[in-house]
Amino acid sequence: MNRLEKRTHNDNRAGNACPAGLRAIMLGAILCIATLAPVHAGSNAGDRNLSALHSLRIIPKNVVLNGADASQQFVVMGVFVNGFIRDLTAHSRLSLSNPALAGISDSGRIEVNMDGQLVLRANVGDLSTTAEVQIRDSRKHPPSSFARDIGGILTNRGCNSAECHGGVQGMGGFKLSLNGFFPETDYHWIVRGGKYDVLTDEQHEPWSPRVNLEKPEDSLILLKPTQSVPHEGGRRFKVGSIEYQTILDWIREGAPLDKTGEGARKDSRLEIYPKEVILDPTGQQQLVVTIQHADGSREDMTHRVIYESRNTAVAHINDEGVILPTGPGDTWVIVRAAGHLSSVHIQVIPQPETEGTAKSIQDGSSPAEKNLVDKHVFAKLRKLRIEPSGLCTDEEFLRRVCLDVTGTLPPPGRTREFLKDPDPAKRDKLIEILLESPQYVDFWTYRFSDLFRVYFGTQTNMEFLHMYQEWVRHCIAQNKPYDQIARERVAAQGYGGPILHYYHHAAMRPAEQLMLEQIKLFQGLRLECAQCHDHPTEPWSQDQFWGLAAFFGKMTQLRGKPPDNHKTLLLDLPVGLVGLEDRKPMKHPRTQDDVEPTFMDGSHVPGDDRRDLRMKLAQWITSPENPYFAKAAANRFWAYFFGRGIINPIDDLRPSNPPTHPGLLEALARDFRDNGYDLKHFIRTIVQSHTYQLSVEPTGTNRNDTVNYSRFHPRPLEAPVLLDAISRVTGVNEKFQMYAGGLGHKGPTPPGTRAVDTIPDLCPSHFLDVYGRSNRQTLPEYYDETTIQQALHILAGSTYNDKISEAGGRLAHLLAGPATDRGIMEELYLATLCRYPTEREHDELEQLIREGTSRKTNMEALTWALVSSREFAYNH
Amino acid sequence: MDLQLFKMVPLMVIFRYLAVLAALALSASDTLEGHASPELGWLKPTAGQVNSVVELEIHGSALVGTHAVWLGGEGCTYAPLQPDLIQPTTSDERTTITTTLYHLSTNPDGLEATIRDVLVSDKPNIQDRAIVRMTIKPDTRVGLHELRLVSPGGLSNRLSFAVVPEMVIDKHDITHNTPGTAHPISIPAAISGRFSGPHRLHYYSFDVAAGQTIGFKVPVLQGADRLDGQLMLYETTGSWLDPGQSRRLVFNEEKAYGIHPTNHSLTHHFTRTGRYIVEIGSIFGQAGMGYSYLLRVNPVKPVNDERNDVDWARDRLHAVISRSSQEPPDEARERSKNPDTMDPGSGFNLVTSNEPDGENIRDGLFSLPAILTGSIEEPGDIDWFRFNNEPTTDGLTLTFEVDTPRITGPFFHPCLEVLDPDGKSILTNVETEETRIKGIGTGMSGTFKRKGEYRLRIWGISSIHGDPGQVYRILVRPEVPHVTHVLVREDRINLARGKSASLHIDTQTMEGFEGELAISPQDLPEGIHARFSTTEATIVLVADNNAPMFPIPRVLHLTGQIMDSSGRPGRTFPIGKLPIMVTN
Repeated sequence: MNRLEKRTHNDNRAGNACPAGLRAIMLGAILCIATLAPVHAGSNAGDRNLSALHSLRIIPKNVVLNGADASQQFVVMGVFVNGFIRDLTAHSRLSLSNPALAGISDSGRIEVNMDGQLVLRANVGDLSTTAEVQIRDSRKHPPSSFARDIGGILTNRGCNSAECHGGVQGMGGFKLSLNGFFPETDYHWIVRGGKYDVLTDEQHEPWSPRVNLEKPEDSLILLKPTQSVPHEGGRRFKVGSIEYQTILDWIREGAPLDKTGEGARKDSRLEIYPKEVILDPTGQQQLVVTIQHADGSREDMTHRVIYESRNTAVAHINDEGVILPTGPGDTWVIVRAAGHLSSVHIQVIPQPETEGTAKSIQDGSSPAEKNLVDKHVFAKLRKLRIEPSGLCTDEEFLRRVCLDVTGTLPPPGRTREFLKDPDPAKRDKLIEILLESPQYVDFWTYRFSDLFRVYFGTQTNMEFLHMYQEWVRHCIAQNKPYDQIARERVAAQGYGGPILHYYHHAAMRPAEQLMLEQIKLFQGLRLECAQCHDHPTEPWSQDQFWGLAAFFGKMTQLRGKPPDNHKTLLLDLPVGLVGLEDRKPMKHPRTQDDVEPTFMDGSHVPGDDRRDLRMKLAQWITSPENPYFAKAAANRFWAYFFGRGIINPIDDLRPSNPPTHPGLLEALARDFRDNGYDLKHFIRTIVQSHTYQLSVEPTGTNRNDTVNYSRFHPRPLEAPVLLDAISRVTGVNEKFQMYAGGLGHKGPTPPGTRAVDTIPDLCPSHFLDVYGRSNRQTLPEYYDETTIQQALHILAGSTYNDKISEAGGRLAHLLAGPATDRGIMEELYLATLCRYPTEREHDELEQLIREGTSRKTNMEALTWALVSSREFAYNH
Repeated sequence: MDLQLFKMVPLMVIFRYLAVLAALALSASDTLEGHASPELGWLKPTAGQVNSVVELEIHGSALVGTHAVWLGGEGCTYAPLQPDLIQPTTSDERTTITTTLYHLSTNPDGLEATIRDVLVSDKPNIQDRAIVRMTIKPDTRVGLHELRLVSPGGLSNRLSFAVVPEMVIDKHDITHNTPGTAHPISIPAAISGRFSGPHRLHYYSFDVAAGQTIGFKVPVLQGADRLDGQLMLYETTGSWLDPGQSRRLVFNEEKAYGIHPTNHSLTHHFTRTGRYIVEIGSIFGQAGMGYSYLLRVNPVKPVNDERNDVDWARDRLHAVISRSSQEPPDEARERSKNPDTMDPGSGFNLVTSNEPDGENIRDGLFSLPAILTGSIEEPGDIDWFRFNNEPTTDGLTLTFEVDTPRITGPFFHPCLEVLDPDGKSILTNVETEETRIKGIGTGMSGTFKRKGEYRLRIWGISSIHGDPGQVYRILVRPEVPHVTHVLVREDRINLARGKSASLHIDTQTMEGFEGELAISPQDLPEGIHARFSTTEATIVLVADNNAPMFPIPRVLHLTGQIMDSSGRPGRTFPIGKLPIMVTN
């Protein structure tokens, strides 16, 4: 499609706030990319034609059922000739080789009768498949386990959900851990009893157990859920039900905790098949949920878990684990079992798929896979039957990669040179040039300064700020491994370097705040809620929170002696020194107990190895075994290039916020880790990928795709990058005023200071504030919102207007030189948009310039229109 | 004197010269009464080349009647000039001329200075200026020299004037504030400049050949505003995105706090031939009249200027003993009387930590006196030493003195801890208080009464930092009660007739010193009397109403004498000297 046919008018960043007159006309004459238009929901399709069925699979293929009441859900999957896979359980004829041993329902669930071995056969048309089933101990009930059995019931009946006793404050003085994540605590509240208060362990009433060992049937834990006594939560199960009997048997056995069962729970794993579901509007998908225990045994949980659809407008899931689509889109199904939480990604594709789409991806007409990024992204697109856009033009790539890697627009001469270069490897060569450029160091220093919060605040010590900024710059310049950077920041000690962020208003920040920031930054976890109570929806407990905070509880300051009393050292209290053995223990705010520094997995630092607690935590955070560090980093850096994280928001990794591309995130994290957390390698991998180099132009199937990277989505330039770009295009440096705190002197910054070099609270800038730079007082969050102030700034702000007409600027030089109107136009286009004007743009603009009052005014209007255009203000 | 030049002086200047001649009939002190003490702000240029004559412009206040340049006390001479040797200079309309009897000042380092003119402003925003002609002889000592002015108001504060072997480029009034406008220099060079506006950076470009090592130095210059120079180095290769962009070569330069400027230096080994740029700035963008700098750029050869460990230990011992009540250590009779008395000339037990090390190593054994050396090369590195104790009845009291010859505080603080034969920590230099660290001492003393092997553990207080430059040396010696520091707060005394001025003396003692330090001023000028204040350690100098005045300051010597705890007088040692002047 020709660009001219897709032109949009008045398409500037601030919306339709285009002034009347020549500038507006000019702006209208500049072509803007059509894909900056609003996004609507998309569609794709599925095929229900069983004649195209190629083969069948049954899941699970082999199963061992242990004990009385054991059951197993099966699912029959059809593999079609086009490679698509669908749940055909409802279309299958299911039969057992020995019906005496077990029974099978139409939905594919086997329930055991007696020991033996049998074969389950599924037939669809002429095709069939089988699964082998062994039944053992069908007369034996397994020993009771509080965590598994009681916790399972409490989870399955919703008693420990966030809305009920699993909530922050519990319910009616009875508190359970969410989903039974902390069975020992639950056991305490059930067997010992007591009234729960969210912020204290202090009891105002006598302990009253919720089990009655003398008269088990009179136990509150049975009377309440059966509503034998009034229960605000209503009836959760009936007297005599399996649940009732299980709890009753447990009480009769003496209500044991069964620590063995607890240990087994910790080591067990919840598995869901399939991990990802793609449905057409008429399809459905049976899930199979299995717990794999530490001893290798497996247990079907399909009918013993809680399912929750995150968006019932896309898909609904029933209690049996069958997903039914309700509308097109993406959502997740959250699966909760006692002590476990997992999720399944669901995509409902509305349109019937076209064979040509998948074919075009596979036969090479779509961009080839260049590296691991493409492998995962394109594989998913194939599954989704979404045709990716083609590769972007050299003009688009040049602008895009220069802005993303260096935050700098290329000069017109370099653009001409790059566009003319016939070398097929020129893109990869350019990437290397950019990664080695000083602008890369400047730009990523800015990004990391945002990330690491390099700001002055009300510190009295400018020296700290200076040294912190230098540390960040040095990290980038020497491409320090990211895990080392993380360790240095978390465990910062001594004088200078990254110790500044441990202070606020010249005082040391509280341990819990320090912990929260590091965990959010390097683990991508938001633990704020757990400060006062167990997290209401995620498996983070208050004990975990304070266990982590305790790593920061031994921090202290050593102030220098006059005249060096400003030279404060940040230290951890050494362990074992004379008189310092056990000082400064951290107190749990609710229990008032001393808190041991405890990692998230519950392990402790040995008592004789606590010399530097924060370094221990830093090592744990960055260890290869840590499940979060590499993923959180890969996810964060990915978002810089694609505008969203594979997990979004980028610092909110949690079981109930799963990634859109788990395989990709895993691969990126592994690649980052295996390559020594080399940031340049990571960036290279991203920008070399064809996924990154896709065009913004949509195909027939990806117009509405916003999460699968089937095309490039334009992103607004970050405020400092936009300001620097305007300065560079106009050839007029921004004049910042520097308000140096403490002993510093107020005055203009050195000539040539770029916006990316400024410290927000020392260099005030109306433009940067309007366009939303980070103030660095919290971890950065970016908003893609246009505001009325931005529109006004474009219209009347000095940044746009004064720079354009300033003597000594680019335009003044061009006008004073021998260049023709066409030549100037070309130069301005190359400087702003990294492309030549199209013929139509040439013709229309030349005519406007000829008709205008003066050449200077007309060219100023053109420059204004270019820098005001959305094509300029976005990276696309 | 250049008579030819003199003949060309305009008529107005001749009148001023006549006024000078008239002033010669009067003594300086008699004609200019009630003057405030002169206060100096800055001078330009800040340096002069060996074997040259430099005209200095010194800015300050209360310079009226200034008649001499003070180059120091001992060995310096100050001779009144004959009238026909005085050569006034021109002035602008905002200033008035004052005249007095100028002196020729010389110092033994090879400097000669004379006042050529003094321009006194009556505008509050314009400083007075003194024009000084400085002759730097071929054998003048290279380095910083003290420079003050003398007026009837007394002696001024101190400025630094540097003598360098390189040609001095005066860039006080011309700035090169972008890399693109960097001023080209040839190495070696010394640049005298000033930051008149905040957040300015000055750039100088130079060419080097591959393999050259260049040193850049910005010394702290004494003045009202002391600039803390910040250095940065760039390669002028440009970049693909911007041919004018420079590439930064160095990072993590130490930044010192503005109120305590430090000398800054940067040494870089250039691996590529080409053009480079050195950037100089003022920390936090500080600027103003007095923010002058001297930037020296020289080829350097790596030299190890660290003092030999044994020399250091010997000097330390000497310093300690010389300020104690102990008898001189080099007297053999004392050695025979007291086996614990240290002899600086005797051999030390020099023990070096092996790397990598660990708690279980069996080396590191030392006997007394000992010098223990090592480094905290890696984060978390811990060094171990050990010694066997054969205590006397009262136990063995030892002092551990720590020195860090390369990386120093606040970046490197070695922590010491002594573990007794049971492995229990009994002594450390880490001072704690409640739940915080109160301080990290540069030494510690303790008495060891048990027989057996004691172990000494050494680590960096910041366990995440390790560097081969984190070198320590520890002198282990018997405890010697002594006086450590004696500091006189004043650096000059301008004493008006009939009035008094105080000398404040701060003293610090260590290692259980229980005696007294008696301080006495020597060489008091006639008519000046020393009195003893009841306020802290203060000596009050009182001038008689008719105390004789003198045009050039005298030098007052202060000496201290140790009195041991029994009151027995001990050794005498010099504490300091400071110039004193009597004014009206």
